Amino acid sequence: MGKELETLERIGYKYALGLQRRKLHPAAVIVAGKSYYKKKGRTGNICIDIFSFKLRNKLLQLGELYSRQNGNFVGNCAEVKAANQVLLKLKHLHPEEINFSNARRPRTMQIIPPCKNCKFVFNL
Amino acid sequence: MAYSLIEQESLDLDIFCLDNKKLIHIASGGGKIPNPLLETDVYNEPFLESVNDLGTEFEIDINPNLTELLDINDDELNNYLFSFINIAKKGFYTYDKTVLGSFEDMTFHLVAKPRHDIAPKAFLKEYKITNELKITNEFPETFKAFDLQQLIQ
Repeated sequence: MGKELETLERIGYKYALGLQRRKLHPAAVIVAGKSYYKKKGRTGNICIDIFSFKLRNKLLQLGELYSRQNGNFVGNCAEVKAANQVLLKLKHLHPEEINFSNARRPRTMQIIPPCKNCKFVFNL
Repeated sequence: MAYSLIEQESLDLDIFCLDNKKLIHIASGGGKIPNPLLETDVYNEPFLESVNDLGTEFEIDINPNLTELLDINDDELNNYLFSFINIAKKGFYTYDKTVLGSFEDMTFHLVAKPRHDIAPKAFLKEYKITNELKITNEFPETFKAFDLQQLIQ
């Protein structure tokens, strides 16, 4: 694992553990980043108006936002929320260039595998 | 209102109900829950607060098969059990989603339970918990995984 991924993993683990201790239980949390810029995300939909253009276009290749595709709602994943913040800041990036920590379930700290939609959008 | 599909996918819900013999807690793990439990949204949050305030400290039994069932090591098991132990000590049979990341899969397993029987209705009355909990079919008392959809239709 590279240094950047190690850092993302460390931040992600700490973030999930903090939520666990505070008894806050989103289904999953993750950290996305590129170089110095890192952002946390958790499951839950976000306003369509604040989507990064590139991310929105990639998600639309799967189907309408928040429609059900491959067993999950398009755009509802923690990966999307975290990556969107990175892409809004680093506009030259493409979704597949973003690095991620493991997604974790804060209640139990279990690692959650990426869904088919995220595998497609972020090339995971 | 009932939990929407997006809420079910976004949140690891705490769902409470009871059967004839026991108080039941279910952690949804971001997965789908059977339709009869969707309406429990009206009381789950305030009920959880009441449970957190309970001063009870029951002896509990923990599922001995968790490391194998969930493919985790002993260190990971401690983190896994953190919230379930807390709920079981309050007097609840606590169940968890077995297969994470698969929204439709409704396989669940018992994580921990009070060692001795607790009469659920008398318990709620004694601790002045007035919420009317959903009454369900009998939940398994063994540690084997089961299909929640088949149990609650």
